[in-house]
Amino acid sequence: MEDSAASAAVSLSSLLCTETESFLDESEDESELFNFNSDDCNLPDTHEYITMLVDREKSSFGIHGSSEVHEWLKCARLDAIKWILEKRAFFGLRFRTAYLSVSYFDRFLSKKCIDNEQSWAIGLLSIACLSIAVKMEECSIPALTEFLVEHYYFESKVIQRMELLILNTLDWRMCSVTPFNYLHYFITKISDKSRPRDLAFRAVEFIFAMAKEFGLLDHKPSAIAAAAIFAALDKELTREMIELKMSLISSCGSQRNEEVLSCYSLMQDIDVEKFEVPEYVISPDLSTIRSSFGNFNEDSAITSVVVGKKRRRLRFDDSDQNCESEKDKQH
Amino acid sequence: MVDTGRSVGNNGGAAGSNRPVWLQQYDLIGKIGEGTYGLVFLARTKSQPNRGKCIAIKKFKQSKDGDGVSPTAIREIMLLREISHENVVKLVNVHINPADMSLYLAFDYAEHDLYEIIRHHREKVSHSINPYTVKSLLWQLLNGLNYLHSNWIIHRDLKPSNILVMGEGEEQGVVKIADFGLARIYQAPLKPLSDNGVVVTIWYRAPELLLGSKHYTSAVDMWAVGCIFAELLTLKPLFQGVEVKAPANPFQLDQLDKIFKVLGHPTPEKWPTLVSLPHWQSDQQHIQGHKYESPGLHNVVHLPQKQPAYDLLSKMLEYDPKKRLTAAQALDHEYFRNDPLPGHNALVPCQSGEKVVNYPARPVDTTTDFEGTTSVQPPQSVSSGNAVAASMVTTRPMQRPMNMMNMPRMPPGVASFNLASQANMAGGMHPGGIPMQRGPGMPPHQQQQLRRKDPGMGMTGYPPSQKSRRF
Repeated sequence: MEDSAASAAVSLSSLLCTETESFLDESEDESELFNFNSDDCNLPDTHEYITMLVDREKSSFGIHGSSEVHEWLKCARLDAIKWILEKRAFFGLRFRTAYLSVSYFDRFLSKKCIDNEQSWAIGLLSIACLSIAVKMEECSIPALTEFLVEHYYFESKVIQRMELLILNTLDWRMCSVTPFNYLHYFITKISDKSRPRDLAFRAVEFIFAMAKEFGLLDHKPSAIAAAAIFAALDKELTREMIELKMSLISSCGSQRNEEVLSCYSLMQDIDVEKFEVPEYVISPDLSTIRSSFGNFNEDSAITSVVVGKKRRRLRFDDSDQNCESEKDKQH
Repeated sequence: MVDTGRSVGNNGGAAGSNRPVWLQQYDLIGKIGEGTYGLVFLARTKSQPNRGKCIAIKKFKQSKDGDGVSPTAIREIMLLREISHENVVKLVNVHINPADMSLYLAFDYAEHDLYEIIRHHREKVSHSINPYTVKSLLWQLLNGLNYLHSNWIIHRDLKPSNILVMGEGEEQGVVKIADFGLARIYQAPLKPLSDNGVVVTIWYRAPELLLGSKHYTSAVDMWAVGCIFAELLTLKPLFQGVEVKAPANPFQLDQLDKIFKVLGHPTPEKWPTLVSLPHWQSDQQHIQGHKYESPGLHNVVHLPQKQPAYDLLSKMLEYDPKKRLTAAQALDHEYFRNDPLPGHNALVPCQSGEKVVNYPARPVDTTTDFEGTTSVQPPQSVSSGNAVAASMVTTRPMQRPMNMMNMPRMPPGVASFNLASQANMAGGMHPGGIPMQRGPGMPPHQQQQLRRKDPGMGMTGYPPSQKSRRF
């Protein structure tokens, strides 16, 4: 079990490093994200595009509230995200595709419950979310049977039913705005760094680190994108510095500052390197943070710092519903 | 908005009494369209409040076994869920047939399309389409397109058969852009057109695409609108190239040649990025070999060059996509500010004394059932109208009195996809049992405000309205 779990653990940093060249070569689309040589951002309609996205996300984020999430589900979710990132690397998918999969996953679970210990259902949900995201975003689509999860085999028809259940549950609204829609534009506005590509990679790491720690529904993608860039630039920025930089992104409006600051504080406490540590690194007090950052304040920032430092490897004998026990039941 | 055809005592089977419940909401009238995407049927709603209303039902072809839900269906439905505009088709429902997981989209039916309207004038009527109708159709088409483009949606497959026009009813003469099977939203990557397994006619394809550009912009839609505009004026496709049929998006030399003949040769002076287009470089002999000196667009469309209509058309057919008129700019053009002003009901001119052309409804094949198999039932004719409409004089070839029987009231709206239905659907799920429970806070059922169209959805069922509002 340790072996399989270890192999399932994903180091985002290593994925990014090893894949840099290949996806730049192979994927025109992804290269848009990391290509800063073009004049795309000077096109007069880019600003309109960003404004449209910001308007669009207003209606779909920040309204979900953080409901109580069982510990086993948090673990299962983390495993699901790791699996999705693994498949992203394996198939050379876009980051946006992986991120969309996670957002479908979270949105689905905000509307439907999965019973405790139904780990096969999480596996099926992960496959179907990724499959839908791939169909939305990618030109080249792997066969369903290539999306293998550990421990379970699902027939294509079963996956298709799950796809339909997800599509239906999400009301076919699959075209979510993601932080990746903003990343390129924000970096060109915010950063004067000579190496924007490196900054973009670092920001991507923060975006996924954030996705692993928290649900995707509580923060607006534009805020996550901006905060990830700030975190990638410097983890010690003051509020004033951030506000100054935020003024460069006029489309976001000043009312966005609090949201960005909130995300930035959370990211300050995430060490992306820590995600190289194998499985089950979670914050046991996640629910505390989640419930408090609805109305974020200084205190919750401190809380999250503390919690961040408390990260530990959950062990087999940890209480009732931790990841290990969940894994164990799969066997 | 989604119905899963939950049924008790039947398994959502094929025809007859085994029809899934969702299908029992409708009286099937016949098939009105067919394409690589699947089939389109005309049906009538049996239940209140829209009893008798015509609905176009698009059935997606089943995806290849093992591929799950078809990407085309996901993208199209997703897109239709995002858009709502008077000049875009309205998706009213998505049905899932639980037995085979096939997908059906229900749209408001639009009785006419530009293909049939143009053909009717060319073959049955001795005069061209009246200027008011041309201008109104074009204005509404641009209005819908401007909405799509401002929402970062590129249609990519505009052609006369995808531009629907509502028949008798309160929306009579209103244009609806349809068929979003190839449309693109945001910056999602695009497959080359040929990869979708969809045959897109090349006649409306923009020159930059014909020359191998992979960069789609909304300007490709504006080129198509220009072609459609010219076709409305002349009743003939403007650039009728002979298509090279081959996989992998072959180079369409003849289509380019047809364009060059009318518009003259493009030059790098007028279109700077021309030299970077793949086919321009790779096939210089053929493309740059013929030289067509005298642009003859005004001769082809029989318009004096100083007329606003000609000016507008020529700006839509600008070679350089960066210089081509946008939908918003086109709506602002002088052409639309001159008499006759464009109107809401494109089919019925405001001016008294103008002759109203009664366009035929699109043909309905009444021998095909929802499974796409031909049935033995005797052909029925169909009427576009309801009881009120039926009393009007109409030239529609197919008439059928509306079924006025009292139909049982259907459950309101659409059953949302809940777990009970999933239980039904998931009978074959591998790890047995139904793992999921319905969570709290299921959103109330939302009527889908989408539009989509296909070669064939029309709608009727409203009392005819003779008023023709101006914009």
